[in-house]
Amino acid sequence: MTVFAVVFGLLVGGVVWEVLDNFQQKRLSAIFRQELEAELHKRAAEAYADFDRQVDSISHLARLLANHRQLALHLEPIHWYPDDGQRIREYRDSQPPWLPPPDRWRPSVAPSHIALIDATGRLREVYQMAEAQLPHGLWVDPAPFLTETRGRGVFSVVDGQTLLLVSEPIEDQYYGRVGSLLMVVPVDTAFLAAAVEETGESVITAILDGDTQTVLASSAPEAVVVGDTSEKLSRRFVLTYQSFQHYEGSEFNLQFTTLVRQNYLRAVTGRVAKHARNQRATAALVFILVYSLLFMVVSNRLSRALKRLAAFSQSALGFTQPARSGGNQLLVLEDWMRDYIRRVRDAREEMRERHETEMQASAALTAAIMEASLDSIITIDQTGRIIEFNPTAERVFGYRRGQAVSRDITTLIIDEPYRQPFRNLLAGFLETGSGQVTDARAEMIAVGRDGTRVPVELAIKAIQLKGETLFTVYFRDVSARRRQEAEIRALAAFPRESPSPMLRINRVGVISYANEASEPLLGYWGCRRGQTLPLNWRVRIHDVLDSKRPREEEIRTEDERFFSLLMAPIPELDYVNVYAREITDARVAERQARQRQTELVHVCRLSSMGEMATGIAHELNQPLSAIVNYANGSRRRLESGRVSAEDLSEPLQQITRQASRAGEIIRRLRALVSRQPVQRETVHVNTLVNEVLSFVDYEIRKFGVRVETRLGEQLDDVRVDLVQIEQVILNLIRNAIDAVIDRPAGKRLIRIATRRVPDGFVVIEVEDNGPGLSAEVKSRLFEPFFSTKNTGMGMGLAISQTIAEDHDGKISATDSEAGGALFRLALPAAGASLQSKAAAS
Amino acid sequence: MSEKDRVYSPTIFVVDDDEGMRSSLQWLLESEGLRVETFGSAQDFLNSYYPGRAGCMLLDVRMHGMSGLELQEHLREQEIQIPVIIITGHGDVPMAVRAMKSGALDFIEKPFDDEKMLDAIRRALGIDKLRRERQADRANLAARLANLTPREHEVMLQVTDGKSNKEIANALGVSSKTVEAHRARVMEKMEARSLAELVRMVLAAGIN
Repeated sequence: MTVFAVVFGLLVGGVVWEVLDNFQQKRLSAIFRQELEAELHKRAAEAYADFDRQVDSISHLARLLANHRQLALHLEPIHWYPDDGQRIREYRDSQPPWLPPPDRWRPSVAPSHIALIDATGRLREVYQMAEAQLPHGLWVDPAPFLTETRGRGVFSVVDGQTLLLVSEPIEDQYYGRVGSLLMVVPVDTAFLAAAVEETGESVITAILDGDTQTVLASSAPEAVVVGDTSEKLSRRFVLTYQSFQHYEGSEFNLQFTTLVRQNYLRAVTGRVAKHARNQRATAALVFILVYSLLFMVVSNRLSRALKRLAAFSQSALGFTQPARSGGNQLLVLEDWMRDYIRRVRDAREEMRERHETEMQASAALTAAIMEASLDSIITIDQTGRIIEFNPTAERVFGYRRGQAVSRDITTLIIDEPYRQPFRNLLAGFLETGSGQVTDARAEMIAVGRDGTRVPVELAIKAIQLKGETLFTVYFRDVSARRRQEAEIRALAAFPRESPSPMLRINRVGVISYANEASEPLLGYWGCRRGQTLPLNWRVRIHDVLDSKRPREEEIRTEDERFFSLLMAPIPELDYVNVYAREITDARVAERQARQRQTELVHVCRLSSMGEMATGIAHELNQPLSAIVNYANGSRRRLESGRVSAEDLSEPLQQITRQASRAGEIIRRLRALVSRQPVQRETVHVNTLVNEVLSFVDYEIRKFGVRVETRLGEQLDDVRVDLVQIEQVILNLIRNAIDAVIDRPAGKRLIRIATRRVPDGFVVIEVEDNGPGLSAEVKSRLFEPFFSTKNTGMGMGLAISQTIAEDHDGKISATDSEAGGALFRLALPAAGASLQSKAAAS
Repeated sequence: MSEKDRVYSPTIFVVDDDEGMRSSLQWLLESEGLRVETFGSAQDFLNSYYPGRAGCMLLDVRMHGMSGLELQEHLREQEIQIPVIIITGHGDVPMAVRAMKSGALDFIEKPFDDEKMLDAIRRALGIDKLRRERQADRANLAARLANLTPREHEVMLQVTDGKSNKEIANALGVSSKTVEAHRARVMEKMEARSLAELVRMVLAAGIN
């Protein structure tokens, strides 16, 4: 398209150019020549005017000199008499006295001579300003050159020299005419040049002899030589002649000529022509561009409009592109139109046919739907009269179509109690006005021809026709669904009958269902059915739903009943089923067992207590004795008066310290004796060991047992019941002490070590250098009431093992490198224990 | 205090491994103007004690390292006769008995009755003083005995045996005059004012 537009533009441009260029060239040349001539005349006139002004200025100078007072003063004493034989007085280098000082009158074009001539016409005095002599003719007889008119010079040729002669009468002081002043100015190059100075270089001025047509003087002698003929000059110049009108008195026919170079003119003409041509070319280019653009825009617009029309037709009428698809539609406009119209006609025809076919198909389809529908479809008018009755309706209700049509639907099909509601339903449509309500649903009982009652769900759809409203009534047999619902209700009775609590709780923690057996749980939560669970349980429900994993919880109600709750999430319905199970009996049994164990541990502890009481008593005695000593010492000093208050400060401090020490011992004693509730604390094993060592400190000292401890660093804490585990460690250490007691004093050694072992356990090892364990002993070590000691109950290790196992730990015994036995208590590290529990759950 | 007491300047040696006990005893005893030295262990005591030092010892039965009984044993082996008062906690009766058998002077239960304690110390110091005086007497006696000539020694033994000068003269084959002279010299050398005193000296010296 663009190419086409450019070609078109170029073509138009080229034609315009071709026509205009020739025509305009000639016209312009003619106009320009006229203009040029006028211009030349103007220039010539200007040049002449300049020339004339110069002549005038010289004339004025002559008058100024002639009338100058200097001259009058000079002439005053002079009397020229005719033929007095006086010589002509000449001034060459110096200025004559009759002239004013040179700075007063020096003109732009200097005269060559200034002469004074007496009344008789004789030359008297000459001031020679130029090199050349005064022309002989003037020298001999200047009279003929004197003019009568004042202030006017004459041009003359004297001795071949063109001169401007200006004469002025001169007077003495008493205004008596003495003669004339003659100023001779050669009309030469300088003169002419000065005249045309302002006119410009392109113009040359010359003086021509009118008779001979030869040049007498020129402003540019190198171009216009004196003596050249006008004929010869006109080859190179354009000449404009002007006569000296005001110098008519001259006997010479002189012409003022202005010359302009032919080639200058040509150059100017050429330049103008070129400029004009450029302008034309630009114009042509602009033409091309504008036309191209215009063409492009217009044709694009048209093309687009046509395309749009085509596209519209394509989509609206469904036929393919009416003409060529690409390119400019203008080119094929006619074909396009013809084709388009034809296709539109075809398409219209085709659509009409298709529409008819579709109408037929639609009618068939509607009939088929009516017939095949699983629902009974009955069309009635607004009075309730049956208009249409589909096969399903025939089957369900037992009437043939022919029997049903024209009957009242209400009395025919609807069961007695529902007739009025049905009528109301229809009336509701009509009351609300056409188009307001278009369908309604209801559940009713329909009656078949044989009297069977069918539960139906019916939907009424209003159809607005011209002038009347019809209703299509859809009956759906819902007896199957009813049966299912009944079954579901029966199923729903299951949890109700369950002896275990079953609940359903939705995401926000509202109890949506809870069976009879759930009462204890509801009591525990302090809420009723339909209410919200306490916050912590809401959180649990939420967690279970989010994790989508069932979770077990155990609760204890206020009346000491235990329930295990399984919370099973049903994520798709966003609620949690809670199945509970009462485990009170099992829990009570467990608690009793634990209590018995605690009691046993306590008994065991008390038995070791008795043995340790002596040691502790001794220990307690130490600080108490010290206190008594300090007190007695102080009292004695006070009684004797040999003491100052300051002296008593130290013993009093000591008393405080020792009392604290006693308190500390008592605290330990209490810890040992007291029966604390079972509670686990996180503690470092080394702390446990050190604590127990402080209990047996007395015995160790008593028997002189060397105790080596190798307590590991950076061990994990353990989570244990302090009293129980300390009892275990105490048992192990006491056993070790008992084992080494038979060794000679100084050779009794117990090693206690703590360290970490793999699998997240921390172990405490108690090692002795006693007699060691025989195979028989080793096998029965942890049996209750088995003892190797005379006084032993045989319960220590058995209980210790029970306690260890209760802590997920273990006690094992091996032979020690020191020769005796090595007992190892392994306890799970606090972190590991948590992990294992998490894994188990 | 008598002049003799001032000459006798005893020290109470307290040996107990409980620091509080040691310094509280020191405080108590010094209130009675007694000089007290304390030791944390039996070994410390042995390291600094020499037999010439007068005084008595307060010894804790139960101690780390060498126990009180062991120290007692050790002192006895070394024939160091310093009066020992055993201090003991409640219920250590069997051990106290053992200590007493080993020659302890007294035993005191903690906590102490200060009067009882001081009485015991005073008694111990008295014993020590007496023992030291006897020791001094015996040394004196021995020196005097050493001055006697063998003949004079013989005569002294005969005299203290209750024999008459004549019997002595017969037994020795000398004249009774000579015996009389020896006897006078013995009385002089032994600084005995009477025969009875001489007899006591001989008994004390244990040479009869």
